[in-house]
Amino acid sequence: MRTRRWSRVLLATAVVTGTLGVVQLAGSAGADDWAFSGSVVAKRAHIGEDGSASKDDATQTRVDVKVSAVENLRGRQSVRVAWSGAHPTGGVVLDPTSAEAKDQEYPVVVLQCRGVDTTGAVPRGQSRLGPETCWTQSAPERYFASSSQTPPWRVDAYASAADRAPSVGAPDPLPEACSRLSKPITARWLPLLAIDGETYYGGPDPGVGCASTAPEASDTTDVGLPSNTVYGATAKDGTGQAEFAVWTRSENATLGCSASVRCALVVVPIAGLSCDAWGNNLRAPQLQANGTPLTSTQKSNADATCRRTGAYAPGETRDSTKSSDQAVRGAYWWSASNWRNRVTVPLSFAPTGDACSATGAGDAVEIGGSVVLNELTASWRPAFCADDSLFAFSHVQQADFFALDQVDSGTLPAAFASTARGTEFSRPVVPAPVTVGGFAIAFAIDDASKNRQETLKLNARLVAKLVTQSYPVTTWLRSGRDDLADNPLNMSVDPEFRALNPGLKSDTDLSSAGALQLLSERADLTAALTAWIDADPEARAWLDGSADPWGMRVNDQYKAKRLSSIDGFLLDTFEAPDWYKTANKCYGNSPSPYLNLVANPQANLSAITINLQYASSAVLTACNFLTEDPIGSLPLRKEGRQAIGNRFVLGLVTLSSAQRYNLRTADLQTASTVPDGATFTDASGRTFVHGDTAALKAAAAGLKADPETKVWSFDYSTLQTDDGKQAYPGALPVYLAAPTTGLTDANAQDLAKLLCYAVDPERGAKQGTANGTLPAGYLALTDSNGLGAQRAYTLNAVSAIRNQTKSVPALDAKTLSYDSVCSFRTAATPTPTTGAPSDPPATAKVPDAPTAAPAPVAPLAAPDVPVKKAAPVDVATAVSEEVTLTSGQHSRLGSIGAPLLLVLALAAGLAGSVLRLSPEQLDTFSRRVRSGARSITRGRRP
Amino acid sequence: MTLLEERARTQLHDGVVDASPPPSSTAVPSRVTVATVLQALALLIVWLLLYLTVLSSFQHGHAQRSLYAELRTELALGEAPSGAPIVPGTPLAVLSIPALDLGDEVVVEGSRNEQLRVGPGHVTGTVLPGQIGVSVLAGRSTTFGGPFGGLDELRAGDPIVVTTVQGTFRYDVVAVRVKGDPVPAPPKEGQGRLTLVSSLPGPGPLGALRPANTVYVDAALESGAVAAGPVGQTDLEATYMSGRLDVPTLAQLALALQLLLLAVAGFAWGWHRGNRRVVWAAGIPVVVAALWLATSLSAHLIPGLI
Repeated sequence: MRTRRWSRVLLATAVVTGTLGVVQLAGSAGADDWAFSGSVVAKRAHIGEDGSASKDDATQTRVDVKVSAVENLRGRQSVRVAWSGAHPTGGVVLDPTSAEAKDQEYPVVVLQCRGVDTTGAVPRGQSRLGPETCWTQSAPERYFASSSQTPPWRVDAYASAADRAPSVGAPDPLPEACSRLSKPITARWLPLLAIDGETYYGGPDPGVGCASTAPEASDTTDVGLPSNTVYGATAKDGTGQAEFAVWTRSENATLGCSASVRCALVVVPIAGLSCDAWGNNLRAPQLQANGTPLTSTQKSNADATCRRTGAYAPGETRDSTKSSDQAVRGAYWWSASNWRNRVTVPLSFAPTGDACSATGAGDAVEIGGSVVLNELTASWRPAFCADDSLFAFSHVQQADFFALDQVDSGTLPAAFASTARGTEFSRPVVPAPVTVGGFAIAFAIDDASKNRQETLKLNARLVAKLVTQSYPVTTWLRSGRDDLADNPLNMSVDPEFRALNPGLKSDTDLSSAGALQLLSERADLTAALTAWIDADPEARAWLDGSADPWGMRVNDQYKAKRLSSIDGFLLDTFEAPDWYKTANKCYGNSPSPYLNLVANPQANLSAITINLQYASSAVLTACNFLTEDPIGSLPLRKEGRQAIGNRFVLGLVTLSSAQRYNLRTADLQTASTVPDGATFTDASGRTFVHGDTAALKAAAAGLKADPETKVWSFDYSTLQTDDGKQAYPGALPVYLAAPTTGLTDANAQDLAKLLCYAVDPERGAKQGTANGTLPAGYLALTDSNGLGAQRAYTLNAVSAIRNQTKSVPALDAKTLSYDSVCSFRTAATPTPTTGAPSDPPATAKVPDAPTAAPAPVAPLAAPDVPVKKAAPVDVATAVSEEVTLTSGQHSRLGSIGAPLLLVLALAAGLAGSVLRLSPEQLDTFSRRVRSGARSITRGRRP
Repeated sequence: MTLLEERARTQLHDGVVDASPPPSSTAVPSRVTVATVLQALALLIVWLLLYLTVLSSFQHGHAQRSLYAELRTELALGEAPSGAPIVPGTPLAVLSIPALDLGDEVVVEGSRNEQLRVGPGHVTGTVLPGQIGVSVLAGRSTTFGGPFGGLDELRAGDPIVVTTVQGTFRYDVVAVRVKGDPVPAPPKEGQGRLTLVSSLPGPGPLGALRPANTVYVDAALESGAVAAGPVGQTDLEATYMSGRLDVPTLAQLALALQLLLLAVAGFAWGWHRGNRRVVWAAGIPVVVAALWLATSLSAHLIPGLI
């Protein structure tokens, strides 16, 4: 009996502790995902005719708001905002950033505003946060006109008497253009205060001059960046979330947020206006500032309109025939009773490289190359120029091969690249690994129920189909060609794609699903993608001409070609038939191969990331010309932004940029056990890997160095092994190509400092969001990441660069310690051992080391130019002095100066006067001189 | 009786007959042309030197007067700019250096050659004078009034007074440095520093006419510096000691020289044809004006700090 009782007690304790443990785990699971949590009690209470606050229809809800990142923010970075406890939204529209989203009922409005939200004193140099410093993009969001005497904002309980006037906020004097427009009975203007003090009034029609609008504002969505104001929809359970792109002054100069100008994210959960039609809440008992007093009928009408709680049921989608109730619309977020229900989330931006020129950093070391390192250099550059022990550098984004050519010729001191140079360098250049980044295929695709798709599976064959222009996209193109005759029109109707990704929207009329947005210039990023495709047996077989299980074949222009050897994936030559040229006037004006217009590679990576962030199709077949000028230039235009719910865009980006702009990236196939030739209906038998840190670490094991060029690259054959299956195929190591001869001492020390920084676990090898740390999307060069061999080689490279040894260290050279090579105060640094067989033959014929091209005219903005005193290029010593000396400038014209000119003038004048005398005059003159001289000499004789 | 009169007999001359061609009084020997050209060149150089040393300072004085009038009103109304972005050429501050006898000199924004012609310029990319941080002003030392001439004679402790819309600030000179001297440490928290840049006279007795290198003067504002306003981007087009040979200026200079040739040719033609007094009275001003235009355009090509 006793044991039974004890066993029961034990069982009970076990159950209780188990439950507690589970509850704890569940509670802590999401706790650290959010950088900011705040809440507000959103109240709505009306005041009746007798002045009493009614308790019956007063509502209040506690809304909790969470934001995913608020520190070290960078331009266009996407943060997630989530809320719970809000009133469900009615009249829901698909796109929360569109102008019509403001008319939803009970949305949660998220805006980016400039300033500090305080009622006290504002710190010097900052603005005061208010509705006039919050950004909205279109004119209808800032001007509200009504034909009624009593729109709801006039009877807002918390509005002041001045704000209840019939016309509030209008510019004084009203611009002339406004007089030509119809005058509303009541109007509310919401001016926007720019950072330079200019006020943009908005107005009914800024296009014709009735008040002004900020330069970044537009009523159409294809000018500049689309609006970042979100009118988020809340689901029936009170929760909702949104993605918000924060802007710095580079994206929006009117708002002007930066590391020094404080800005905030303001979340306004709309609970509806609190009504006070009889003005009982006003301090001074006046009902309106000017105009005729309202009659009691008008006041009761106003009260009734203002108290309305919504025409739509919660969750109901918007119906164009039914108008939403004004009192609960998102458009009135600025009205006092909504504005006081706000949650202000202060944002902190990471200082950008703009700060470098201001601190007088002087000549920056220019490093060219790889777009893979954009986010890394954006993070490191401000940290470097602010640190006295480091140096200022600038990352010149160029094609990798071009940058390497410039290093070879001496125009640039160093370059970032990923693949080895095709031809040998003319002088010894060491490829020192810096970090491991990666390529990613980003996508913006909606599923069949119009929600954003979060995951995507792609195998190499599907990517090959996109890249080789094998989707005909239109029926006339398919019927006009034999090689594409059996191909599905685009990827969304491709059975292979639909087998791997069930449930997505499919549309035969979707050109953007037939292309992958690539860079137009040859880049190592694209080379890595093609290397992965070429190494995949399934894709390679298809590229060589065999059909896929459903009969799709490769475009003849690409058949049996190695993708890595193709430069610019625009090999197709098929032009549209004549009837199409007539139908599409812009195409007829300048016909070109149609599939090349569908592919339309972009000039730089930021164009691709913007297209992915805003789901914009780059297919260049749209023809919108001005009807006033139909015979004019007729340019072909991009298809542009796709409507939310119908998005299908893919692009090749880097892992780090996908992290920054919160782009969804596809899972790439590594290995497949599915037999060739058989159709399949799901993804079984195939391994897909997402581009996260664990997968990059697994890929680190698959990096192999080439003994001749000493460059690490990913060995795709390891993907087929069991261990390598979990590696991310997009891993892309990046190295710094630095010459070991011919660099100035200052540049050599600086580049060495950069490499030492990259392998320092406290600085460049530490992941983080702050400036100077390694951003997300890169793998640090540490032993724990499996990159010990690369790290050791980098340290050897540091020594070679510092000592300018005129040789490239061997891969198997003895490992040097970090402290011995990376101390920038000691005199001697050890030189790396160079194994005999690995000296590249180029060292035998090193020409006279070309000096690095002189930097452009040193701007005198920093007369405190840190020109390091050049220590003699001595192998043993590598000292860099701490004291910087004035460099000054010299003018040759000045050194010649005025005296020489005077002498010149004198000489010319004398010569001229002498020449002017004719020969006879000269003769007489000389005779006179002679006689005079004779008389003088004669006169001397006694 | 004779029907034909006897003709007079041909007289024969004795002596040598001069068969050389008759002298043409209008042919000018080539050496005289060359001589004229050389003398004209000499006059031109003398005029150029006169312009650079004397006449350009008239231009500078005139510009300073109008800028001062504009700045006075703006300072009084508090409308002068206190942070970027500022349109280049806008008057910003009034500078006085008693030790150099420089008083009430208006400083404009921007340090390209065109701004430095009207007075000292504030180098874009640094804070404004009076604000926390380093502020740099560049100015000419010889031509166009030479407001910063004699910077190398300043001694530690000499006051430099700057008045901006944010107040009047008195800086004290810390050091004068040239190429090779150590750069001072950045200013401490809450302090301001003013750096004046100009060109240094060369060695020797005529050194003042041969400025070849740059000279810097650092002055510190120990207390009273105001918070820094927004700072603009460094202007890479501002070349200080290197002359600018940009195509628009050369084109304008070419046109001006053609105008000058036209004026001189017209004057010469009138001199030989018409009433000399009238031509003198009407022609000389035209020639001088064309000359002034050509020399002022060629002065655009000299470095900004000279």
